[in-house]
Amino acid sequence: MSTSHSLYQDAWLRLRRNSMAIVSLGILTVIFLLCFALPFIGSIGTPENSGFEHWFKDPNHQDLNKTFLPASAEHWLGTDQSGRDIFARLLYGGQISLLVGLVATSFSLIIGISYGSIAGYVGGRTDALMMRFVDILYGLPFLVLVILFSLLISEYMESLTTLLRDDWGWNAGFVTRFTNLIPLFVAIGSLGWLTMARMARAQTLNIKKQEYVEAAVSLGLSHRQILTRHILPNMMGPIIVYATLTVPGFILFEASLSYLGLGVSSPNSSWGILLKDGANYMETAPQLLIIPSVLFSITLFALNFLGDGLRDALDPKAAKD
Amino acid sequence: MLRIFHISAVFALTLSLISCDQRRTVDRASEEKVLLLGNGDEPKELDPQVVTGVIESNIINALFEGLCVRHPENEGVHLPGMAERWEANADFTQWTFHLRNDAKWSDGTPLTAADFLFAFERILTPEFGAKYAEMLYYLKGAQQFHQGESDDFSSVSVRAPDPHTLELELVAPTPFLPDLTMHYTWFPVPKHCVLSHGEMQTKHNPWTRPQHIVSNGPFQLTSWKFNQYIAAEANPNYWDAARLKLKGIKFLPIKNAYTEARMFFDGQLHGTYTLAPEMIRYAKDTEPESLRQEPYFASYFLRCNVTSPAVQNPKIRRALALAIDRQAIIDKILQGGQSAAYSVTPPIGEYQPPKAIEYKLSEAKALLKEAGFGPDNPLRLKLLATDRDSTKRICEAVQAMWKQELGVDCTIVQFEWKTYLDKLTKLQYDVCFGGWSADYPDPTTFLDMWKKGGGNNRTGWFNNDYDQQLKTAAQCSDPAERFRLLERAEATMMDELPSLPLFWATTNYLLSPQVQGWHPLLLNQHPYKFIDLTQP
Repeated sequence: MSTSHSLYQDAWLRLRRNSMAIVSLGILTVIFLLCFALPFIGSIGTPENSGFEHWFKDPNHQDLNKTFLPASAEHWLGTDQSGRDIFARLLYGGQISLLVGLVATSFSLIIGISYGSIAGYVGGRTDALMMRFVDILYGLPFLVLVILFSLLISEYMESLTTLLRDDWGWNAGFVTRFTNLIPLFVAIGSLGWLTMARMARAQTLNIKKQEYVEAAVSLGLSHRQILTRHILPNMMGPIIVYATLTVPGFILFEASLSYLGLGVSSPNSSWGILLKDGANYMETAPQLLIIPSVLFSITLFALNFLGDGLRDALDPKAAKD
Repeated sequence: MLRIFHISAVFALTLSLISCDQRRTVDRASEEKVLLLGNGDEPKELDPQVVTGVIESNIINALFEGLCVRHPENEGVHLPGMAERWEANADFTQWTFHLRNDAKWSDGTPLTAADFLFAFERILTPEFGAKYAEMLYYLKGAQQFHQGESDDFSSVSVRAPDPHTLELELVAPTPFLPDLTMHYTWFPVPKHCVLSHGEMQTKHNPWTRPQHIVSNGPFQLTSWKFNQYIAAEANPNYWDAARLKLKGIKFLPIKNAYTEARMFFDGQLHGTYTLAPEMIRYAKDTEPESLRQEPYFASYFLRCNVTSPAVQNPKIRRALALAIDRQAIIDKILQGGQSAAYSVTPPIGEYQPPKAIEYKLSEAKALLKEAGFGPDNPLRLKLLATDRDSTKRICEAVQAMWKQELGVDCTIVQFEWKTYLDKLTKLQYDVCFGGWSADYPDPTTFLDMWKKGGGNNRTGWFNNDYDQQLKTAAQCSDPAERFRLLERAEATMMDELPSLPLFWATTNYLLSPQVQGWHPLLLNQHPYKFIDLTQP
């Protein structure tokens, strides 16, 4: 007896046959677990009552007597220019880079899809007006806008830090790390949705003309019901594919911002900062540049392969091979 | 197959085009006698009476000239500059400078004593707000005029009996006056040019723009390409133009010291003013003939904004100073043979600064506890710094020492030079990483800046006793006794620590062997007029 498959079940079957995509998915899972779970497990318990901290180091703890050490049992990947554990900095940096990628992508998904689908669904003058606004934003240099924007927001971050730390009693270290990232998230996310909006609009225009939407209209469904039940689910395929491809874009963008000295602040690390600092020791300690580059490239490759695989799986018509 | 052939043909053609001129940039520049210098950052201004930084002074020294000129090898010798000769009375309080008759501005206008008077009046006018005006307080009446006690410039005792004579009367015996006149605050500015682009007291007067500027030094400004270079060419109207060997100088604002060093090794620069610590080792291994390591009369410290609640308490400042392991920073980060500073002023000659600070954790912890801070109530600080990479490492090291040993929560905020100076001046910081390089070889070059209201004080700190002690020392004509008085004044200041001493500098830089006439100098200011470039 044959069972009917939903769109997503079909896609999963096709994805499973794409070995590159599956390997990439595995690699990404491992990197995610390494970056988010390992530091968490490693820092359970305080130095007094647990042995864990001996194998997972504080990424910001420096020891000037132990600079540029080679890999050892104590420091798995050696130490950097200030005697900090490279392995710990790599994973903590990964947290920030991956978070930037994911959060900025979700921002752009939410804003882009709602903006684009409304423009496409309403159509006419509203559509023209909304899309011209997108065109204007497109015309402005992205990097400059993000820099301006994050400077603008960071003014307010100080009062937010005091509020969270002193009035709400949150953990000081966490608050500083967190508020440090908000300008970056908001700036990248709030300006990174433009392409997403165009895609969503194009999809909406296409789906709007389909018979099942006309049927829904004639059945008297409200606009909201049509949008959420028919249009949005049907355009998810290309959107998801595009989203996986934007994650590496945002990670790269954070790296370039950090490279310019506009990303997370000292002494915290992100992959971009590790690359920037490592580039300074290219001649004298190349491992400082090579180690983060390798992990960074692996992640970007994996995300790209996964995105490709998803495109083939979700949209077999578009696949050329 | 054909396609591969096409590609390789294009590739070979490109290669042959590139290899047409295989000479390095410096070799070509040496042939044209243009000196290429890495200069750290974009200068804030080029107006001698406005600027305060080393980066600016490196350029201004090429464009302008004071009464005397530095000797290329010997810091104790003063060569005639705008002044042909000069004489002083027995106790060095009355000086007469005789300006040369052929002194001209770069536009051909004769340079007279009136230009000097104009420059002195300009820097001392209170409304002009010069940061460095106290460099002229040696002149009798200058302080009173600058602080608004007198609004008549004739009360300042500088006179020009004729267009080529300048008579100065000083507050106190100052045998090192010729050293002072080589500092840019004492340089003349072209009265006719400044006034045609604004009033005397206009601070952001556009006269220093490349299209307007008129100068009197061996070189004149030709172009200022933002973030690329500042170019100067030989000034044909310079009185000693015949001696000039260079045809021009280009200053490149390269912020990243590693990039700067790489550009040097790649043959794009003749010299740098700094060298990133790790590059010292690399240079020793690869190009030892280009590495210069010389003593340098400069000091690095952390200014404390004493008006900020975080570091208002001197106990906190002392705790912070005691918790810095200076030797570790020098050995592991700087690696250039600097020495751990126990006071702000480096020792020079007979001058021995007080041993005010050392690395003492237990005392630091106790002091901080006394001040009411500890692990459960952490002290929170903002450490202001420039965005140079070498600065970042020093700041991160201090940050970690405070965090790990004292539990101090310190945030590093980095800005590019102009914003950094702006925040520093407006006291928008708690602690700030900075340095000071001597303007003349005497301890007062470090001590005078901490006077009440000094333009380079920038800490909000003052102590009337300190000002009084400096005044007493200035009146003393016995050099040994004067040094003892100055040492006592420094001890007064170090009791309250408006700035936390870090290290006394050495200068490490790269210089191509093609550059001739560049000798070790304690102030690291090399008169460009004596420099030559040999052919590769």
